[in-house]
Order: sequence, then structure tokens, then C-alpha cells
Amino acid sequence: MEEKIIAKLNEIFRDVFDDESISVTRETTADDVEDWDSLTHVTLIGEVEDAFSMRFMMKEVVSMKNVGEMIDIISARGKI
Amino acid sequence: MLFSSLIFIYVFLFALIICYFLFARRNNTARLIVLTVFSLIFYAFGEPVYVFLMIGVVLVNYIFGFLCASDGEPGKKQKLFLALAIVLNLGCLGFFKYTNFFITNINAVAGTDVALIKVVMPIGISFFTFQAMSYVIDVYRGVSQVQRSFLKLLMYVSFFPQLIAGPIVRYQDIEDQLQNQVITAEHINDGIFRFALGAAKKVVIADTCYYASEGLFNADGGPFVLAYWAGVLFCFLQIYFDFSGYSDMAIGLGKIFGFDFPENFDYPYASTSIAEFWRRWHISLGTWFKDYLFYPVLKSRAWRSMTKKMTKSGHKKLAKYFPTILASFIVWLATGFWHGANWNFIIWGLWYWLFQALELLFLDKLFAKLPKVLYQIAARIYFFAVVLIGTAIFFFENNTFTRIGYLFGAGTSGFTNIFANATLLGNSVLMVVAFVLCFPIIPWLYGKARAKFHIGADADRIIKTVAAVAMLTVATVRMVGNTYSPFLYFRF
Repeated sequence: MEEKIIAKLNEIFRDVFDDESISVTRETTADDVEDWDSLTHVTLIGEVEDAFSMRFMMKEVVSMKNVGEMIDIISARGKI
Repeated sequence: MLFSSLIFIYVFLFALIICYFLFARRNNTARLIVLTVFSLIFYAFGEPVYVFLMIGVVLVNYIFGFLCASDGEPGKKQKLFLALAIVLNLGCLGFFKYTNFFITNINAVAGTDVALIKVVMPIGISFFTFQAMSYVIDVYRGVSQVQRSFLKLLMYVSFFPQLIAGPIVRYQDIEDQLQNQVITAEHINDGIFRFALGAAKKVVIADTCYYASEGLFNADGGPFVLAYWAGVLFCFLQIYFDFSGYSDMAIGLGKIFGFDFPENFDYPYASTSIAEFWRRWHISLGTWFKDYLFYPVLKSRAWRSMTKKMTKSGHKKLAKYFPTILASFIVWLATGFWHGANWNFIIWGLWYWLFQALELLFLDKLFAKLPKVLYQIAARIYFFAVVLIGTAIFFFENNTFTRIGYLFGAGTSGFTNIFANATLLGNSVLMVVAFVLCFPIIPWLYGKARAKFHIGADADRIIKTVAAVAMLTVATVRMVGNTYSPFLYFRF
């Protein structure tokens, strides 16, 4: 299941950040992706929410540290 | 009471350190009581009446904390109470800070003659209301637990190092520290070093830059184009050394008493873009606006449906950029307005918004296409041009446009003259030294030296102690001869 989530996330990341070379892992953080900053963070969140038919809580939006935490939230609440 | 004054360092701090380490060190409640009482005395020293307003603000937010708290998914009731808490906080800030600004502007537009109200803005109100709001919002979001102890919440808002000009500490960053502080000799040493560094930055560099800029703006026979540009460059240096120096002192004081505040500056002038600059300048304010305004706006229903509509109608590029840029417009408007009830601050905020938006849209991609060396040169020239003019807008509170015009030759008495040249020449060493210190050169050199001469932890501590004593001595000498020199950010 996790592989499926990562594959889908990869597609979203490449689309949002306009970069086909991105391949995310659980350890990926905003420092690893060039354009992932506060200006693009919520756009990314929005795309992920739509793709998995779910919503992130504000608490999660401001405190997610890496893609791993995002995957954990998606596997708990998202439709995969 | 200024951090960089003799009475603060040699009377207030001295008395506090004695009380704290003699009577309170071993017990958390005793520590918090001593620190809070001294913080209230510190504030009352400047604001004998408004100290009660501040306590009132804490009390109101203390009560709202209970009403707003959630586990991450707040319901209707919590939403309502949060809205009420925000209205009350902003209402209080707005009343003291903006009433006369609005009256003046209404009078100007409508031709009315409404009298201004006679209130003096409480020192630091922009900072402490933002901290109080941070508590309520963090508790509402379930990021932090409700604080049952009024003492701890009062301590969080009123703690004197960050009370008057930041760093704006988010509640979530300090929640645990209200219970457990790091009180070690090493931590105290680090704190003293940071405090001494900040004092030296303020009284040695920032204050000198202030006199240089005033001399240049008011050069005999002026205004002159060259003198104005040089004057703005000194303002640019002054504000960095003044405000980052203040932040160093605040962070250092926090450390002396066991607290770790978030960093507020990270060599901002070494940036190559405006977006990067604002990640490295007044970081705590940027973080506050990001967490409590920018993200909530972007994640709001209105913004989501705007994005969806744009995507559905086939405007994918528009959907990607427009909502973000619109939300950042709101944030920059608020950031500008937060700095002061004056149009120049609003223009200043929007100035940065404009360039941040242009970078997001195409400037970044344009610069990225350049070869590496050319990129470094072009990006830095662009960056300094934008920030220098931004600094001019910030400093020229009155006659903003006339004075900006001087930079471009409009209404000046020429390019320069002998008096302007003399002032510029007399301050040229200061200009070069201060500018170089805006880059992380000393930490870099020291790192190299440590590796080369095998300077271990013990030797490092001795070097830093010697440096702290030297900086504090130089700063003290300056303070003795100094006239009144308040920090720039005390007005906000």
C-alpha cells in the first residue's frame, strides 16, 4: 500500500514542482525539493488532499516534517 | 529600560541574577515567579499603567485558551470562541495603534474634522498581542495543550527578553520550556556571549551608522544624490545591526535563564532573492504570519473553490499561481501595517510582495538559466537594489516619495559636494567593515582556524569568554558616553 501512495505522491510532486527528476521517499523533506517552500506548501497539500479524497488538519499542515509523516496520515485517513 | 543601557545591565540584570541564582534556581515555580515579577517590573519601568493592560490581555487569552482548545478538529463552538478571541486581541491592538491613523485618513478623504484620540501606544503591544494570539491558536489547533497555570502563561507573554521587540516566540516553541529549562554553566556562557555580541552590534555599529546616515541626508547645501544613496546604505546597515543586535541580546538573556528562543536572523543580506531574504530576516515574524495567516487563508474554503474553478476552466497555470499570490498580498499588506500606522509601511510591504510574486512567476527561472558566476552577480545586484529601495521606503516615514525622488536626482542640488564627500569619506571604513560583517565571514574564518589549530571545546569556551568580556567592555564604554539611543523596533 505504501508503494502505491509513494507512486501517486511522486506524480503530484513532479507536477506541482515542475520537475521530472523528483523521486520522493519517506525521508524527503522540504530541503530536498528545490521549490518546496511556504509559497508552494499549501498548493502541494491541496493536490494531495484531492488525490486521496481527504483533508489535512491545520495542525498537520504546519507541523509535517517529512514525506514519511504525510504518508502515515494518508494511510490512516485517505482513500488509496 | 534599554538592554543596551547601564541601568539595565548593571542594576536590573544584576539584581535579577542575584535573586534568581540565590533563591530560585532549584525550583521551577520559584524560578518562574522571580522571572515574571522582574519582567513586570521591567515593563512597568517604561509603562507603569499599561502593565495592567498587558496582564489583562494575558488573562483574557488564558480564559479563551480553555474555550478554544481542541484535539486537532475544532468544532463550531471552538471556532466561534477563537474568532471572538482574535477580534478582541486585534481590537485591542487596533485601538491603541491604529485609531488615529484611521481618523486622520477619514478626515483627509471625507473632509471631516474628527478629533484625534489622546492615547499613547503601549510599548511592545504588537509583539505581546501576537504572542498571546499564538497561544490561543496553537491550543485551538491542538498543536499545544491548554495552559492551566496562569503564572506560566503570564511568564510566556511577559518574559522581559522578548517582551518589547521579539523574537515573537510561538507558544508551541516554548510550551515544554515553561516546565523544564536548561540551566547549565555552558548554556549561561553561551547566553552571556550572545548578549555581549548583541550589545556591541547595537552600540558600536548600529548607532554609528545612524549618525553617518543623518550626516549624509543633511549634508550642507544638499540634498545630494550620492549622499542620499550612501545615507540609505547606512540605514540598511543600521537596521540590521540594531534589530539583529537586539535579537542577539534577547536570545542571550533567554539562554542565561535556561530558555532557547528561535533564531530571528540568519545573515539576511547574504540572500540572492527576496523570498530567501524573508526566510532569513525577522524570521519569527515571518513564521507567525505564515502559520497564522498565510496557511489558513490558502487553506480556506474560498481559496480552495477559487483554485478548483480555475483548474476546471482549463487555466492550470493561473490556478497554480494566482491564489498563492493573492494570499501573499494579504500577508504583505498585514506585515506592512503591523510595522506601523503609516502609508510608507504599507507601500514597503507591497514592494516586497511585488518582487516575491515576480520571482515566483518568472524571475527565479530567468536567473536559473544564467551560468553560475553570472547568476551570483546578477542575483545579488537585483537583490541589493530591491532591498535598498525597500529600506528607503521604510525609513522615509514622512515625504516618502519626495525623498525617494532624491535618490534619482529629482529635486536635489546636484550629485554631491565637498561637505557630502567629506562625510562619506569619514565614514567609509565603517561602511566597508559593517557591510562585510553582514556576511558570515567571521564564523567561517573561526571554523577554519579551529580546524587548523585544533581548538577544542575548552579552548573555544575560553576564547568566547574573552571575546564576550571584550565586547561588553567596549559596549559599556560607548554606553557611558552615549546619548539616548532607542532600538528601532521599540516603536512597533
